Amino acid sequence: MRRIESGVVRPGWEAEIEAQGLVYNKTQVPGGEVRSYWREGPFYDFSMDEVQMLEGAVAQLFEMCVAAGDHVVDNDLFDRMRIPPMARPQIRRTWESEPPSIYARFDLRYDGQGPPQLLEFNADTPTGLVESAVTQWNWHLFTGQGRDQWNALHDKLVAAWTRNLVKWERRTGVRPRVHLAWTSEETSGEDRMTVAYLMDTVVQAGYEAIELVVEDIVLDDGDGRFYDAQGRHLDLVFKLYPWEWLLEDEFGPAVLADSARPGGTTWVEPVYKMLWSTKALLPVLWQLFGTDPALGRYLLPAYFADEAPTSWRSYVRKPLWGREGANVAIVREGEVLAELPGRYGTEGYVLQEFAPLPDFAGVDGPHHPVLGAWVVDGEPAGLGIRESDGLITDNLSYFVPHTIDYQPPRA
Amino acid sequence: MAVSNRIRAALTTTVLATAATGFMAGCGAGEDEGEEQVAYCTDADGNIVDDDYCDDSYNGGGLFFLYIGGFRSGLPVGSRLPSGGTRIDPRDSAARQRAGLPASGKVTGGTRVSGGIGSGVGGRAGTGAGS
Repeated sequence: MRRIESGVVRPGWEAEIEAQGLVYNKTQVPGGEVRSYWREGPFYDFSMDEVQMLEGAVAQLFEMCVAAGDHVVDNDLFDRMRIPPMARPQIRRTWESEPPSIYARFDLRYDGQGPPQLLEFNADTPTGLVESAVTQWNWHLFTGQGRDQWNALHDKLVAAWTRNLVKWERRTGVRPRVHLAWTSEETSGEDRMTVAYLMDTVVQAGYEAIELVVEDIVLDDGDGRFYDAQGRHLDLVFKLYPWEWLLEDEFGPAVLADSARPGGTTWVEPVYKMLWSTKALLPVLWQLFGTDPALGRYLLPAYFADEAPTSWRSYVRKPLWGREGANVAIVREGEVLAELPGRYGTEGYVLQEFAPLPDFAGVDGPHHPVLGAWVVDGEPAGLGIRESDGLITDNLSYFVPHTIDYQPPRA
Repeated sequence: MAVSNRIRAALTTTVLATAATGFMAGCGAGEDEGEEQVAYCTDADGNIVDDDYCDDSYNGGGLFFLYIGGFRSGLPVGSRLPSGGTRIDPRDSAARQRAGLPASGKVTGGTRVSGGIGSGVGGRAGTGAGS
């Protein structure tokens, strides 16, 4: 893994990436400056051997998460995971029945030397999809840099919808229409474009795709079923809206009750994703695999805050249900080194060993990348890299494309 | 094993490209198409009463009104209806129709409602819904 600083800069790239869907490229940073989220020019390069090693690690991490889910369900560890009691019956049901699940993203620390290590699993509402699947693929094709790119996202998303929807159709005898929902509270365009892109993959799988915002989802308090504003039943709805928020909403109990009934709405991602999207997954994985010589190397030691060794004085503290780095703190020798603001944490914290992100420094300063490794329908599917100047990857990080086996042009 | 898309060509992303064009042009497709309207029957003091009192065929005594507006669904009989909404004489069939209600008969309070998802937890948390 290496960072190439002076790659091709496409003329008119900013308008081009916006037209392709990255409408949220311009980011206003504190202080008012507007900067580009997409980095045009620099990119990361991997050898094919490295990518295949990373693929293998991602496949193993996914299997480990499946085992961790089994462990939580079998041993009734929902209290420890701070998973709301009302969600537990339906989590158990969906864990067993495996309703449609499309995608997820592992965030990995990787320095190009040692094994990749899991930072967290964005299993419920991962974003960064448009830039990973579309923007960097088009960049790779246009610039011709690199022999390849770890990016089978589009093919695998279409295949995932096909497999899951055909299975759903056979089970119910109904050809489903697929609603895809985002929250109108998100105004940058990111969630809406993520949904629009997923609609493309649904359509290419041969099914009808309908966009809506979650605020317009209608509950019929006569039959207890869910509809869109035009009165069409929600057969299957992809929601870019986290389960922990949905459960706190007024309709939360009705969503769970309806989805448990025959003919009820199928929600994608399924509610069992709460087992993985909480940071409580990290100490469970460490407990199960931390001492395994092959699998433990993909993990950083992690504990529930009240179970951490008293000798631990350097760690990262993460709220169980935090997002985008909010309320994450880096503690070194008992001192808070860095902390992002936010309103999470009342539900508890996990502590994870502090393993500083590698620095692929350039002339413009430090660059700390996090590898976002995509999983589609349970299989490794591609890579998106975000890098930050600081050690916490937040919603002000940059997206940097990547290649495989780049050969610099001869002078 | 291949690690990239089978066809090395630009992806067909018609929905995404259309949405992007609309977004950049400032169009807000998918935005609020109007608040869900919910009807209640009240007495002269604004207290919610049984729907039967606002059936236009009701012949008993008392003064009753239909109120339609962006009320919460499921408000119980006996509770005071919050202020707001439009007051309609239950026997005025033209006014009922203008408000989107059946011209005659009983009006059942709020059978379908929206707005029960996305009630602001995300906004309170200060982060987006994605991760």
